[in-house]
Amino acid sequence: MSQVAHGREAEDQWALGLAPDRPRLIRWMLALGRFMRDKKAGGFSLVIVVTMSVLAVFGDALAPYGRDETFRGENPHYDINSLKPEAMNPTILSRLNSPSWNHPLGTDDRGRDLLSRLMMGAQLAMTVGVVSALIATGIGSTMGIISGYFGGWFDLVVQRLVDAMIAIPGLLILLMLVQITEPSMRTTILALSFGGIWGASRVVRSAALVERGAVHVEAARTVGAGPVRIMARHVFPNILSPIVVIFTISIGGNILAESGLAFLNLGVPGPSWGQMVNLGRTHLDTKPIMSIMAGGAITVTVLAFNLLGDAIRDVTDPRQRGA
Amino acid sequence: MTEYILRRLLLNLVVIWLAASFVFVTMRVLPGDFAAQQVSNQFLAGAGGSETPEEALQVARERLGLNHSVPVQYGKYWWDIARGDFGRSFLTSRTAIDHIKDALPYSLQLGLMQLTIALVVALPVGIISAIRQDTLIDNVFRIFAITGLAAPSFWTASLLVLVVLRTDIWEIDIVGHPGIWEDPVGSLQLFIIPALAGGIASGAVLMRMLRSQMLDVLRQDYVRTAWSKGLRERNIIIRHTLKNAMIPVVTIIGFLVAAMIGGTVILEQMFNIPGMGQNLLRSIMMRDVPLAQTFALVLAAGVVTINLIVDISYFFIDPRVTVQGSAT
Repeated sequence: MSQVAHGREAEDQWALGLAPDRPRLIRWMLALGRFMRDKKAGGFSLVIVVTMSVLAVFGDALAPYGRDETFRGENPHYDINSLKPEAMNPTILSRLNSPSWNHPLGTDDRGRDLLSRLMMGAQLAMTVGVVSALIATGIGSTMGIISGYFGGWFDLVVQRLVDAMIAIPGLLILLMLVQITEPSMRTTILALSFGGIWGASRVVRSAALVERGAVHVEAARTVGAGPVRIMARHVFPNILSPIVVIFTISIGGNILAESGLAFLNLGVPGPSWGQMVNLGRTHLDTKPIMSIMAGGAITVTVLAFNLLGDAIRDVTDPRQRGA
Repeated sequence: MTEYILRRLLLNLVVIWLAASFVFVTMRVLPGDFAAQQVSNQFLAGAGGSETPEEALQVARERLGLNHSVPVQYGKYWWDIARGDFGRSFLTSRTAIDHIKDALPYSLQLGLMQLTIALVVALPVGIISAIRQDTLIDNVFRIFAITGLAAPSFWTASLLVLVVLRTDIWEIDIVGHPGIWEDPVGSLQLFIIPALAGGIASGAVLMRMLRSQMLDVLRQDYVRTAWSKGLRERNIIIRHTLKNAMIPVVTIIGFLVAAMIGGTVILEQMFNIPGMGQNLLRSIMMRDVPLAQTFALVLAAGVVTINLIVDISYFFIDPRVTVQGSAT
């Protein structure tokens, strides 16, 4: 795609202050400002996504307390004359304390600061979500473009393979793959990426099928462009928008799946939202805050990525507007 | 039509074969095997007998059919299935088919309850949201839907449990997991929370789809004609709009049913419901290979069959659909 637009498009770009002769940075900033103004939900979700990204990178430094720092408080049962085990020690692990000035959300079931753990949970969710979405969308799109562009028996074979992988419940694939090596972030990312390839390739394929018959592809073929060049320069740029939308929404899906694995105790060691919901479940009746906050963090983050995906689709694909 | 169905059935067999082979290979790749676990437990318990651990392991492997090479096991796996033998659970020695017969009713009950809740929520909400587009009620419904989509089902279920615990409406019996035929009230009391949690999430997907489809159809010329003819609103909505908006929605319903057969692993595990999901999770964790493979096979077969049924149902819902148009 050329940088200089013509006709109506050029007028639009001038009107928006996106004219090509302005510095690229300014054009980006103006486009971002317009996005925030026109897409209230998208702007809101962008703020959450940026917040979570900051927490993912700097969470350890921003958190008020350390990752595994435990806290002790006064033992109400302490009695120097008693020989009962619960009365022997003057201090006791501050398990499931209610919110206080020192611990705004209280402490978790092992006496750690809940707010700090919650902030650090963003690191796992965001890393796993973004990296596996990147891998899955990358491989899936390549597969989808090639399969859709060539068509024929090659497409038929690839699509039956995709059918088979889609027919296996996603969680089943994950349950098996995360157990191949010891639990780690890399294992979880690889499992989620593998599971996400197929859906992405299906969507990209149908978009590529439409482009395959388009006039500009026909023209490129006529002037002797090879298949690789056509796919990379003529098909890919035109289906970039559905790819970006799939990428954004699959981040949310991956975060949900990761939290599900963590909930089943198959997740990555370390602070994790899904695991916190699970641990809090035992004390749901008396101290529900742990489960509520951790699940809320998952919901807000996934919601933000879904809304962002919707907003990107609205902006880039006018036909889908309002869907 | 018959030719189309036959062709699809044949393709489905290929798909099931690929899916089952994938699960077969993955189960072999997983570290640790059932025989080693069993033997080490025996020796830890001091029940080793006169054999050495190596010999005992060899015997256990032979008994479970794990002594052959992987290609031989693979051939035997399909040969047995061709004869209708899906193997026996390593753990219980009962046939895998028996385990499916035990588990399926629980999952079906949970799935049907979820689907009912999803439809009861999604149909009215989606329709109202579409015909009152951009009003307050539409916005409230849409926020409900996008939140329902984003909230993990185990969290929604936790919140519902919290409500039930705090208000003391009923006792949740997660130890007994009563069947619907033995103890209908107890069964419903156990199933209603996971069904609501799963149903709201699926209902949210359905509602969004229905709303956008309804909006699409409402802009069509024939709907405007219906309005200008002076037809009643109820007629226009139900006969002209809803019927035409339902086609993509049916796809989503099929997709949801497919997801419900096996996608409730987390909810079943959470509420200790011995359905397909919990059995699957347990058999993978225990490396109970025949059970895991059979469950996966049944799930994959269920998914492709439902997809086929959905595609066939288009012929009946929409007379414009022909074999040419829908065969991919």
